Amino acid sequence: LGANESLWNRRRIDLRQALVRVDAVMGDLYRRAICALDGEPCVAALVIASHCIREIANNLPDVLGDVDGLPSHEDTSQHSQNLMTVWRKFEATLGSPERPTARDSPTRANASDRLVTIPAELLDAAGRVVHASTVATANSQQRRSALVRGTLTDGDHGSVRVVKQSLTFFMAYTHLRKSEPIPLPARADILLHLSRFEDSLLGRIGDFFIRYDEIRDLLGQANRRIADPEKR
Amino acid sequence: MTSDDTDLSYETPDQESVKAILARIGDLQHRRAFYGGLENPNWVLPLDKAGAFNAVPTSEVDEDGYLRRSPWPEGDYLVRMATARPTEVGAILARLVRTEDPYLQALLVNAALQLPPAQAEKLVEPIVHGLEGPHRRILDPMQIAAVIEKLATAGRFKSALQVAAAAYRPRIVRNTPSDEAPGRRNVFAGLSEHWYQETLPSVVVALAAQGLTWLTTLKGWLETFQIAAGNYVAGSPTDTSLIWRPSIGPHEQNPEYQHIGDALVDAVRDCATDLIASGRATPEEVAAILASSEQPLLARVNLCVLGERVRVGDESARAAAIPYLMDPLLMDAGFRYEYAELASVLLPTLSASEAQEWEAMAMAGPPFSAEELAHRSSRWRMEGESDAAASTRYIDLWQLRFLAAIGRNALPAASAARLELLESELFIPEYPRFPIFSETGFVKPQTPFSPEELADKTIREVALLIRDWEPKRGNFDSPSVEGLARALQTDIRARPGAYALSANEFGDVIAPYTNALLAGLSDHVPDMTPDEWDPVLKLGMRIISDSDRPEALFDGTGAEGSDDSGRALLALIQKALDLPPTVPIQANLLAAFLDLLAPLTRHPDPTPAYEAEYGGTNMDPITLSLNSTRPEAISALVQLVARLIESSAEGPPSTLLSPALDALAGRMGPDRDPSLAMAATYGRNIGRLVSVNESWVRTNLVQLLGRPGDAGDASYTDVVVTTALAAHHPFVKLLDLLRPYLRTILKRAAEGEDISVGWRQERKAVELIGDHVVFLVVNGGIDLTDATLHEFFELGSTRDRTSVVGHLGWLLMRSESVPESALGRAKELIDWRFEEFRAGRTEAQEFSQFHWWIQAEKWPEEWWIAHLSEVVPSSHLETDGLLGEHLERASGRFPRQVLTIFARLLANKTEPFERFNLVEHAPGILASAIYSGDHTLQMTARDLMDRLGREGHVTLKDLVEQQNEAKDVAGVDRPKDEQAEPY
Repeated sequence: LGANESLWNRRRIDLRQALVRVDAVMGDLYRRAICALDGEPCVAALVIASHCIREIANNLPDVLGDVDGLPSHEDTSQHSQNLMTVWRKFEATLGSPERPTARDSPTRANASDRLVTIPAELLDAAGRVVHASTVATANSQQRRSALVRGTLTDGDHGSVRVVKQSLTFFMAYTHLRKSEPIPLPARADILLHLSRFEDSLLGRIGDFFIRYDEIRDLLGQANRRIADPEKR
Repeated sequence: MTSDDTDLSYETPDQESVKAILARIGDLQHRRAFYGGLENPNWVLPLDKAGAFNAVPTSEVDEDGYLRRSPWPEGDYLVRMATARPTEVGAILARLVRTEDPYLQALLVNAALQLPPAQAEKLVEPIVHGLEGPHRRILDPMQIAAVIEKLATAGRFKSALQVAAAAYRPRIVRNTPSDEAPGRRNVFAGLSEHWYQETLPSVVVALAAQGLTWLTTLKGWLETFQIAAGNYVAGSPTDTSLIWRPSIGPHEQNPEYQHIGDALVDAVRDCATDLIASGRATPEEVAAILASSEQPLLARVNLCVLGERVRVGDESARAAAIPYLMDPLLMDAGFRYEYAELASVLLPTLSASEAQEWEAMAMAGPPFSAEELAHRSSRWRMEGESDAAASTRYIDLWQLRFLAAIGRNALPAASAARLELLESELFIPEYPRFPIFSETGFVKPQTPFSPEELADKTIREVALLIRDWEPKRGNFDSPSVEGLARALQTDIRARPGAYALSANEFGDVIAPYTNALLAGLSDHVPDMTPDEWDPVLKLGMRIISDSDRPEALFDGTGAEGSDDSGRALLALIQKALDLPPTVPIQANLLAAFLDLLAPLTRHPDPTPAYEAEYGGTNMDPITLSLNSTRPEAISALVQLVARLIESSAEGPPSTLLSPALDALAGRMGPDRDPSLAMAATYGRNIGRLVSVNESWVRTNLVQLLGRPGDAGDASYTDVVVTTALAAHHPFVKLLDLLRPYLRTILKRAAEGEDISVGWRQERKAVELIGDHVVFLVVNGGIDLTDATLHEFFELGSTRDRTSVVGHLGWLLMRSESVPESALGRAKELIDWRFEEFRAGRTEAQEFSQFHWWIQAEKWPEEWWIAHLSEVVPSSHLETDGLLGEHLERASGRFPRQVLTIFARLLANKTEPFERFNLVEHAPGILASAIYSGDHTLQMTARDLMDRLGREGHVTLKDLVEQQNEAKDVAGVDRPKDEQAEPY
């Protein structure tokens, strides 16, 4: 794709229409993502596009509603907040979270450096954070599986992995980094990850039979034989 | 090619190409398309690296208990690539070693066949696991056997034996699993009985190189089978093998019903024989293993194998066999066939001293202790026989059978002479080698005199012959009374007039011959003259006087034996009364019939005891009534009454009609005769009676049925009413007569009471009422205001109303020429029911079988489409039959309505068998919508097509396009292409 060539091609038009049929907001998010990227690349455009892509990925499984037992996003912030509160409560004993006294306390000189004594309430709060994070990771994996394959159990499958990599790419650009400059990735990289995400969505909600024919065409390439052994 | 090389002829994909493909094939059907067409083995590693073979789907048991398979197209690709990329594929599949999924286990069996032995061996564990699991039947038995053969051929015997044990080791069913028949002591193995028997022989050969180890294994399995099947109890000197396996070698006496046992006997026998023949083991070694078993069956196998080897001239086998020939315990009847086979080939080869030693044992008699001999002979001791004499006779019989089994030609001189003596003194045993010999076959009754022999005699001579002849005690195929009666009947059919005139000659013969006479005359009835009837009716009177019993005999103690004659007589009279009115019957003959019928209406058959035994679950009242004397006498009386009334223009002679009606009334109602078979008789004849004499029926109705709603014998009333409805075409007179009783039945059924039926067919009591009234609506007998019609739809259950509406549609569908007026009334009936539905007075379920009305093709499409649209949201609508075809046909005119109905039906039906007919016609229905020119409709159709594609109907698009081309040919107008507007 040339730098001045519009990103709007037949496939993207099809995908936008498919998303609109599912949900108008989804379609609009996609339109805005492509419009943002459809021009001279810049950080602001990438941030907008990444936000839109993240919202589509996060919400499409719920909007489609075709996967039984789809888990919700696990919110870990409340448990983190609680852990912080408990720490503050015992700060006199524990010291500052940046430099806890328990580790360097002279009273612990003879204790194993791998074991410290902490309030049970703090352990409980920390446990909740770990558990919530574990659940959140599992739920995210299931939701990605639902997004890509329409099932809950295929989170580690190659198709899901590929989409996860592309989403991870865009997630890195959803927020500015305070004063730290954001290096703009190559346009080719942006478009590669965009197209993987789009291909996945087209397979999931696009015209089934067009995608089916595309795959049959791709098989021709996949089964291609080497005409000249020298090329090996 | 090594596994590290790339395939010389295929390109190897880079990792980015693989990822690009993976992003596109999240959908199952897309994956199926890709992996189904991928032939390039160079994709295996890159795909695996990208995680394409992770997250293997597993089958799940649904809420109905069915195992639902989740396809894994990636796995099928791996199996196809196993030959080209054995190391990689083997490593990937080895990750599934712990799988519990039977379909994956089946895939691994398939893969093991494609992979080299080293890789295949790594899959043994899940294969074994699968064979021991509850879904083992999913594994392909031929492939299992092939895997064993493959591993064995490659010298990987340990693995081969592991799989073989999982497949063939017999186990007992302890907690009857779902795939085993309950109720008997079952033995099962990894393979089903059929495939066990089919595949074990090739596995026996494949593992033959394991020699004595393999034989020991097979022997152990056979022993296990015997114990598990209950054929052998540990420590017992006997087993039941003589019954289920009379011969170890192939023999027609083997019943072959113990499939696993039979296969194992063959396996042990063939393995042992092959070991000796191939030189892999000596006869002594083989015999030592088989003889080490406690079970007689294994000793018989040993004798059989040694006998076979001696027969083919194996000298070493001869030497090994002699100790077993000389073993007195093996001379017992339990080893007889195989011992005799061995002895017959071995005895002629013995030296003089060996023969002498053997004869000494044979002459000593059975190999029992004195106590055992006394015990056994005492069981056969005859009256007045001493213990010693019984014991001597037992020994003689034992020797006779033992020596006869070996055969005189093979016996040494002294024992041959002993056999000759015993045979002359006792008998010549027919099948001496089989202590238990079974024969089967069909033998028809034999006659001492053929019909031709009877035809040469006068009727009087025949009568004397049958009176004097007595069957002798003999075999089952000896001449019998039944055989002679059949021959007699044949002769009577040949010269009926002569027999009729001489019927008095048969007055004192036994019942089978009287029955033969009456049955033999049946075909002659239309031509019978008064002169011929006279002696026959006199004979009938004699039969009646024998079988007529006082009322007291209605307690079930009525004499047996004369019933058949009574029914044969009734059949003859009924045949006469059934003659068309153009064949007049003289009044005196009708009077004679009445004289015979009246007493038969009091005949004890069916007795209450008989009715209680046979009139319950195994014979409904109407069937019993057709096969009993008293009910059939009532039926004949109804025929007589009808004949009297219909054949006389001036009115029937009261001298006959009154007593006939009195006789009819005499058994009417539960207080006079509570038999339900009699109730069914009145029910099936009530229509004829109403037709010829309605006033008499009305006068006697309360006697027959009681007052409507009164507490009485409800079962009796139910049987009369339901039999009447089931046995008659609907007619208004009958409906009017029974109306109050129908109302009572409907109310009782609505309150949950069971209603008895006289004719147990598919239609229940309430359905019969519904069928009757809706049919009368259609034929114009009643209109939509009819009270009973409304009562049925108000009181009938949803199931009954559904059934009646559907049944009427089905009937109309099957009727070829229904008048337009009737079709109009049927339509009005359905319209009324839909009005009731719209008013909330009935449920959509009432129209579950509306498809019959559509299939009838007797009403316009717009009519049924409108109604179908109303009820299609109900998930109850049945899609049986050809609904899809009719929807497709109607889609040309009504694409929107049909598409909506079609989409709803598909959404409601999840089982493939429910959707098959619909999906078959999807292309036409979708094409009508897609090419309708209606944008919204097109989108809906495309969405639906998309959905069906994702469900696996991947050729749908091509089929829709074909339909489109067909429309082109037909000149259908085409809409303009849709203009895409992306922004």
